[in-house]
Amino acid sequence: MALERVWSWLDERAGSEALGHLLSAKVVPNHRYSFFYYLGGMALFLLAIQLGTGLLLLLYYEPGVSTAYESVKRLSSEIPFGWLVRSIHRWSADIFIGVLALHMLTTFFMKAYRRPRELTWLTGVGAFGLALGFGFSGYLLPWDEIAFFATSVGTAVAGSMPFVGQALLHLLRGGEDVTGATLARFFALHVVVLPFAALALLGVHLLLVQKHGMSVPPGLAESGRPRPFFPDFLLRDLAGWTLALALLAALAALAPAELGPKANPFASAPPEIKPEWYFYAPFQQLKWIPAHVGPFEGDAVGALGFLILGLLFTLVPFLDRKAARGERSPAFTAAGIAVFAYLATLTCYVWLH
Amino acid sequence: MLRLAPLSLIGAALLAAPTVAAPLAARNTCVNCHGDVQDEAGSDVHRAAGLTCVDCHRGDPSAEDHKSMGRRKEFLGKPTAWVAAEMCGSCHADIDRMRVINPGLPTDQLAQYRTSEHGKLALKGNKQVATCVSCHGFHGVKPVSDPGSPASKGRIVETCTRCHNPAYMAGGSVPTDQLEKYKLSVHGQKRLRERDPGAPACSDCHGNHGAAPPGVYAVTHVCGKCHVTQAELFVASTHVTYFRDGGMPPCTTCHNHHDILATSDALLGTGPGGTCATCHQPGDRCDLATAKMKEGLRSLGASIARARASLARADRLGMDVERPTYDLSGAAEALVRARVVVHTFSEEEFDKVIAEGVGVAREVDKEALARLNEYRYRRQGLAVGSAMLLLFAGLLILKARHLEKRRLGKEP
Repeated sequence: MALERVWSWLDERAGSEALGHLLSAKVVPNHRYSFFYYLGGMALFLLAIQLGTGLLLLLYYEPGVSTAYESVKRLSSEIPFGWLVRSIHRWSADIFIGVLALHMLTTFFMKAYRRPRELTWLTGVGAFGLALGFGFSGYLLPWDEIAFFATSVGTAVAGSMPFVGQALLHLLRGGEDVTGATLARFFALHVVVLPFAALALLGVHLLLVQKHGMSVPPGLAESGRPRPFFPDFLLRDLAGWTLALALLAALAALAPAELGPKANPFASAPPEIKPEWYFYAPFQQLKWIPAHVGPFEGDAVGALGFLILGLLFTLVPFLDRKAARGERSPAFTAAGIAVFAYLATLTCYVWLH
Repeated sequence: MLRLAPLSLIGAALLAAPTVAAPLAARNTCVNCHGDVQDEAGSDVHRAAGLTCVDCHRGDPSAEDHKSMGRRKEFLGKPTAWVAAEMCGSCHADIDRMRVINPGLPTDQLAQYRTSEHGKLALKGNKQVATCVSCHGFHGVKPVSDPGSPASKGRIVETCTRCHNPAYMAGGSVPTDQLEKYKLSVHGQKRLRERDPGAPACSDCHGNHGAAPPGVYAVTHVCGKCHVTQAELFVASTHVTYFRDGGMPPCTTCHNHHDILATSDALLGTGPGGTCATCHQPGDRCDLATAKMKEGLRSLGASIARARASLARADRLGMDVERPTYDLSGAAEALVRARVVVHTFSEEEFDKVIAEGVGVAREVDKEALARLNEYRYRRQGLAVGSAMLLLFAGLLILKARHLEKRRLGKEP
């Protein structure tokens, strides 16, 4: 009774009845690949964890060359549950990018990018790019040795881009080298620019998903009536989120986030520096490319290659004409499998070495 | 000086300015016969400073015949013993001259040499005794800072033992076992085996130009150059009087001199390896006091080992132990200090340091155990939290299935 009164109070002021209608009308297609529809919700849940833990970390983190490392150390060893919050933030970032990548791949192979969902695809790819930016900028913030040198290498790769490389390098580093200016930029990027951009992009993405509903792969027969989003699908979503939370807690307790020695720009780089796992593939590719490819620098060719690959991937809804007509497009599927297999092999190679 | 200066300038011109040297070269007739000596001189420090043969050996370099090396020309030839020392001292003891050539060098070498055992024998005409050239070389003299110089820190042991060996000193009254003993000593091991340039060699204790065995009571000052605190504590202790009255040199009575062995807690007391047995009997006051000291050192060492093991366990489990690990260095430092404070021969002073170290080690052990407890707490929290989350997830899935079944049952 009381709940109904609250609901009608809200409806009178905010039109919550419309939300109720929306929820009751929303359905999820039912077929043998329906499981992949949970990935979007999982990514959303992990983003919420990132924002929540990120806000808690912000209460104690102090950006600056002489304070960043010390504040992270204090947070990990002295602040009650600081280690837990930091470890969950770190692990959920890794899993978030993994889930986003899987979400994007399943969307690709289920041809969900086809007309009329081109904009949904573009906003999704954009959100993935922002997530990589979150990872790259957040990696430097503890200001430990590995963070410092990994950022030096990462920004140097950006600096090797043809034409815009040097300007990009200066923009990222705030000068010639990785210094306190770089830390200030990365901090602002990580806690202000990227979150606002991500929330805006995600808002558009979710609105478009709401408008077009979930796509069924071309030529795939549905195995039953669509499942109502509320409560059937959402309850399963919640179960998945709960399991993800249990996994995060286990990872945080068993393998807490590490903090190496404080960054020392005058020290020599550690022999085995590696970026985050999601940059393993371009990292290894750049290592394998010779110093010079014809008249061009090897790094520039590698960086440009990945840029072109990313651009083709982004524009796939406009390139795959068959899928746009609702037909099967095995060539794109085969190309996707080849690229994915190559990237996965490179990633595994770096991981194992 | 007035006589030598122009000759030095000639030498400098000869060596430094080939274009001008050509007409003057004929005037240094020494090299006409002793050209090999000039080659041997190579990068000799004196040659680089512009000195030539005549600056040391005297004589007349302009004369073409043997008269250039005659008595009238004050020719010294190959000087030995005191003459050799005076020859070098003619420049090196001359403050005015050295101020011009190399103001950084001391000028008391000859004065010191005169007081050394070497110098005393040289003055008596002993031609076997070491003079300047014995240690520094002659035609190829290098600065002492050059590792190639026989007087350099790295080669001084080799240089001293060229004479201080049983073959060269046969029949003399000076002992010749120094090198063998030094090789066994903690200093020798560091210097000869580990190549530690900071480890003391002969000249660090005996001096160089004024080389002599230190006086009995000066030993504290010699050892105290490096072992400052030990020397200060010993000099302020009651034992200094007993040593003096007994005519025993401090430091070396317990630690030996050329064969100074590495210190250990076994040196304390009258037991095996104990140095107190020189004066004390088992069961006397000293023996009882040193037994307590040894127990104190053992107890502090054990406390440190226990704390270190707890820290290592916590570290392996991924807990942050940086701060307590740093704190434990206070206990390790107290252990070092306690071994130094032994030289006060005061139980009270010693016990204070041991108590301080044991206190720090216990505190660190408590910290480490607290971290291990925290680890257990985290594991238990994880187990309980995960179980609750899994239960909740299971209930959600059951509820979803139940709702789905009910919905499908209602549908036609």
